[in-house]
Amino acid sequence: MSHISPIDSVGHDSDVVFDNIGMTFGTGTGSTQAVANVSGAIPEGKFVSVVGPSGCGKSTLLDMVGGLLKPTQGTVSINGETVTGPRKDTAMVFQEDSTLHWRTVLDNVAFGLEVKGLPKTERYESARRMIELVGLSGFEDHRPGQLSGGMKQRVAIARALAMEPRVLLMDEPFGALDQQTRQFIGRELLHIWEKTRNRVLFITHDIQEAVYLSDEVWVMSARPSVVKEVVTIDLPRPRPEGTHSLPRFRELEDHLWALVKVEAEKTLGPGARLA
Amino acid sequence: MLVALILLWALLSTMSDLVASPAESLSALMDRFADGSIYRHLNATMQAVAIGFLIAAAVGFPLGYAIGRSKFLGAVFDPLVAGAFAIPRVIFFPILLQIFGVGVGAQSAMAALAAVFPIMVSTTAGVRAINPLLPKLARSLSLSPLQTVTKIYVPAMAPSLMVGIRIGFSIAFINVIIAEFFAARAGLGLLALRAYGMLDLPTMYGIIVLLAAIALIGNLALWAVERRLGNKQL
Repeated sequence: MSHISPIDSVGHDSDVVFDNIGMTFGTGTGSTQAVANVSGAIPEGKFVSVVGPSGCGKSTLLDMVGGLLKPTQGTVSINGETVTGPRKDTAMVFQEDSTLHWRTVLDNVAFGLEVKGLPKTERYESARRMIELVGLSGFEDHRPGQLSGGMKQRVAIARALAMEPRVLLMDEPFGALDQQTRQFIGRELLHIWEKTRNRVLFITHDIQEAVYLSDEVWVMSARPSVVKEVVTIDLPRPRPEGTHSLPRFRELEDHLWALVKVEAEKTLGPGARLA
Repeated sequence: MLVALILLWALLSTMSDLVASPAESLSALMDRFADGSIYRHLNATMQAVAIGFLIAAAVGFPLGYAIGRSKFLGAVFDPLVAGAFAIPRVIFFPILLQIFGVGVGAQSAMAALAAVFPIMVSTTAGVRAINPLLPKLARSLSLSPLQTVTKIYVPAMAPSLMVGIRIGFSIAFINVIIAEFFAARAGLGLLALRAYGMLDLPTMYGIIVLLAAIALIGNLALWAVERRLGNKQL
């Protein structure tokens, strides 16, 4: 086939590639086009965040990479293979608590590996490593009911990391946490990621968080959404405390705010005011 | 508490000829065990409870699960189940007698018919209370349908399943005894009623104590399991 796909222009085969994908829910007159014509790529070792107005299909995008939703148009591919269902090399972290309440922290973190069929000693070994990585050492035998919201999210992150995914998919993982916990755990995520360097697709509402964590921030437009702009975050890594107050950080944040605001106003209608 | 009840019973028995004393009742019961005449009845009752409960569980758990998971089945069955709750199940016993004849079959069917509802209802409630992210997690981790049930649904629902089992057992037991009062060839309910007919009050009271003890011990054991599960879940 001589068809030239946009892959050639936006990425390599080893990347996570969105090839002109779209998603329409429902059919006929009652249908909603959530996502239209999104193309792009997440290169190896990059942290990509997606921001945009509420209901713009950010989570839809993530679910398509995770194989939970099939795009109605175009394809998502990872390492050159089209995603047709959940894959072993992707792992998801959700916004709300998704820990298994009847299991200990250790068995929660080992859950994905258990399902994979790894023997007990091996899966516990790597689960213990992940627990240490997310700073939950000493809580192995606790149950989620005994942990705070932030700790439960760390359990979910450790569970995902234990799968050693090529692509880590995070759907507003800190969205349900208070501001303080959120910043703290965001810093920790960055530390962890600097060690693992897997590809991350990170959905968030929080622009500051997106700037702080990412290599690239994709701004989605209002529905039917496209990637309106890809903003490269050229802040040096590692990013220590105080990064937030760098002039460049402020610039990027303001720029993203302006972009998102325009789109949010479209969703909310003219005259809508944002903070 | 138990001691106080027995004391009260003993007190009442001294005041009325119609109440057998605890000692008399116990010895009458022991006699029944000693001559072996009680076993036929004990077996009949326990068999009916067991068969009835197993049928109720075999129908109630899957049906309750399906109603909880399917929007359509929920819409169809929710009003039916809610309505059926108002009908005393025992009124159908004559029909069961017609079908099964007098015997353990009718008793078991009565127990099953009564116990299936609480089992179904608590299972449905259990499925609906499951964190909606867990099925999504199961899919993202590529769990097989069997793994999804055994590793996610069953443990997540364990507390409500245990409630279903405990209540189901109680209801099955109650209904077997009631059914035995009406018509039976054997059973502890029948035995108690016969003793009443013959004014053999010690035996009657003895059987009642035995029935109460079986119900109490069974329920307490199940409740203990339930609590342990609950503690595990926190």
